[in-house]
Amino acid sequence: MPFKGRLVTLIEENADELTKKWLEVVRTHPDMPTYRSYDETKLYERAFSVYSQLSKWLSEETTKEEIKDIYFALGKQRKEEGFKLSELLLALIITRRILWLKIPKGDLLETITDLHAGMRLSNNTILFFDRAMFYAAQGYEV
Amino acid sequence: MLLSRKLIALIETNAEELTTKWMEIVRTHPDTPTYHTHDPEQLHERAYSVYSQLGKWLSDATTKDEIQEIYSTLGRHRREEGFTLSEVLQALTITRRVLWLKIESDGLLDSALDMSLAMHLSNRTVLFFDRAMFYTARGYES
Repeated sequence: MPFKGRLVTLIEENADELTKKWLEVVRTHPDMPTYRSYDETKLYERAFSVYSQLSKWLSEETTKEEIKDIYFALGKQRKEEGFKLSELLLALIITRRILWLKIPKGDLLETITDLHAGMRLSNNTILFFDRAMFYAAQGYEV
Repeated sequence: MLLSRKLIALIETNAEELTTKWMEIVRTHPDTPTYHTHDPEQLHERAYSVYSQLGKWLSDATTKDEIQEIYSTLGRHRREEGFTLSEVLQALTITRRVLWLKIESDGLLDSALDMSLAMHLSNRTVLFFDRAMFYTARGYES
């Protein structure tokens, strides 16, 4: 399996661990008060659906429109539920940061091919979350 | 960290070119409509201040509080000026993308060591913009 595929599989196989780590952070973070009292199962489901299907989200077959549908609706829903937009953005940033904890850093990737694959994965992940954050903000503003 | 310094210098010395590219995008992008009519000099100043001082922004000596002060104020101003928060976030995302495209195209990332250091720089850049976006949202909401 190509290196990028191995990294994505690594994330997907550890989706439960990553989701629990994410929950721990967002439910105690001083800048995210609304997450503390929100239904934990619903939060778990949302984060798990990102980590466990990362290959789908980072695939070129996943269109901007699919990301828009999901995150626009999330933004709208979180507004109705009383979250601040800054909390929602921070939750998405934390989702991406926790994902990155699982991926070997530059100094652990030895070959130029692995490094290129690591960089591509990084760029794809950043692009996906850029879109998720933008559409969540648009949905929130409706 | 010689390459990191080289890449930062690449951005800082090309700040004018990058700012012009950023202006071109935000002043025509369908998702940033208020930027199409906003005072170009003010926009130029803001983007130029990021590109021309990138080393300062990415330095360990720059505290979260400094980023908070500048971007909370930016968020508050943009709200008063009639921008939606989603377009301000999109403009920040475009600032980061324009910067990174320059590094990828001119950064001479040939060796494994260069790639590894570039990934390190990428992580620092993402961290800076994460903070900038979060504090902008907080300032906008205040």
